[in-house]
Amino acid sequence: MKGKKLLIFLTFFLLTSFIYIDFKLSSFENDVKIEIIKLRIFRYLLVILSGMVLTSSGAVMQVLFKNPLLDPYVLGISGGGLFGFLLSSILFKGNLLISIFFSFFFSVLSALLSLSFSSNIKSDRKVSILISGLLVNILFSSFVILLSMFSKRDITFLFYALMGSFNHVFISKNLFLYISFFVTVILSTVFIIFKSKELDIMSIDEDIASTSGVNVKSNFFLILLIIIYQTSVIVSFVGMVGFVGIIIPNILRMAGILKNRDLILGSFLGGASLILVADFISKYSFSFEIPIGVVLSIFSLPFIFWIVKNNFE
Amino acid sequence: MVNIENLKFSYTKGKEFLKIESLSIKENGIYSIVGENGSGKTTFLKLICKLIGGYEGKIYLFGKDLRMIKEIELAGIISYIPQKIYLHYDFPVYDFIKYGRYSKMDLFGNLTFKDHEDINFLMEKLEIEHLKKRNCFSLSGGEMQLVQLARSIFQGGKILIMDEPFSNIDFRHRKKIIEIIQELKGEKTVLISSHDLGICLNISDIVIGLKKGNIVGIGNKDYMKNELQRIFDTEINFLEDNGKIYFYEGV
Repeated sequence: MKGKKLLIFLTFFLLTSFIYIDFKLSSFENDVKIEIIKLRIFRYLLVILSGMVLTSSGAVMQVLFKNPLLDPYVLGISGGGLFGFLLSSILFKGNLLISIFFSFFFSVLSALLSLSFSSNIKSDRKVSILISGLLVNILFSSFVILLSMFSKRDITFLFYALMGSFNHVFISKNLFLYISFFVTVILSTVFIIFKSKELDIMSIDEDIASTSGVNVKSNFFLILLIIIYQTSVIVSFVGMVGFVGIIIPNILRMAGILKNRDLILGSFLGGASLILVADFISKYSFSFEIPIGVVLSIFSLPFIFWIVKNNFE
Repeated sequence: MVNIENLKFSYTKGKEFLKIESLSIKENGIYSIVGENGSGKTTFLKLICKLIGGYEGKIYLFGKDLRMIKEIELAGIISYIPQKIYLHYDFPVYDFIKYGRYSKMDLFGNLTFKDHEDINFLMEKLEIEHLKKRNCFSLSGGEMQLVQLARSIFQGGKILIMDEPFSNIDFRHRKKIIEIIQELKGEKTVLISSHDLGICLNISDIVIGLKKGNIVGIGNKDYMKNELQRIFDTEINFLEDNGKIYFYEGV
């Protein structure tokens, strides 16, 4: 049953992958074709990795905080990460290693800020974490705008950073470093899949989890830290991409995929497909490329409204 | 098997919430805790489950200090049913029960064939096998309570702690839960907190009366039936018939 549902997602993923790489390929000359395919495949890999990680981290975060409206973007982690990345790229002239370290550091900082804000708001936990995430997001987005004005960058760069884009020069001299970060992110997602039984039992009830032998606190912070790392790497590559981590896991839950291992696997497929479609639209719908976040926001807001309607009485 | 010495606990500094000088709970049997709302019943149970820390004094489980017992080890000793479970996401019933033996799962979350047989046996015994393919959100309160009971029995361990297992449960399911608890009596220590005095006194070997965080009465049914008035500060009417006690409000 669950296998069948996941199979549908897999089919959809393969279909979108094929269209993404094959689109209008025949209109090119043969020798150009190979170059185009190369570029497309690199971009494709970046797109699907981002989609997988952003979506699965959303799914996991929703379990950790017991709130179906959370993802790293909403909690302000992406904002902190982007700020850290830009800060270090100004200070250290684009050393990727240091940049990602900075990005990670500020992601952790923004998560801590969000958590401490929300623990001081005397309201429903679900609402207070959203409010504090919003505040932290505004704070770091403002810092990002300030930074990019100081560094006198092109204004479109700011749009791409704040709303996410895959329109980067990907094949650079840092290729090895890029790939190693790819690998660490993939390994960390595998680790999270192995943590899915802890996530399952934590999603049931924290007291039950604790009396069943799960160390709730240490698992919470360990998993959160891994998600923050993944987010900071992805943000450093493609900027802030939101919402995909909210939509897909909620669709999966509605489809009856409830156990976290299946949810994470489904998120990989669904998230990658959705981002592929969104990137496709952002690439080809106009003569210029629009940020992927713009596409995602426009199409996903009705759906998010619907989730809010169902979850906050 | 549970020994408590000089236990003191407070939620806010300087304001003692629970104080138990000494209490010893012996192996096998049903113990119930009665007392007003806010008398410390839930807190007491949570302290034994190590869900709350920061207490003074000692709690010993099988002669071992509770502070020294790790979660994973404790899971093999105590199983716990909370007063209210608030599921944020739906979850399959079968897997809900399966996670009772989290501490025995392998890396991939698999259990042995025998474990699965145990689940099926328990579900049959508790008459919930028809819920096997259902999800928790679709269950009634009584069904959910039976599923929880199945989960805790499946977890194993010598101590079963139930925090108000009968509240908001319909008559049929309540009867079933009592039946199961009485069957467990020979192999486990069952610790129940409840406002249902009739059930508490009739099924328990020992009744513990809590008032403002202190134990004000402890003993068997015949002793405790006359002590209740003092514990609850109000007139308590009961009838006795065939060795059973029936309480009524008398209004």
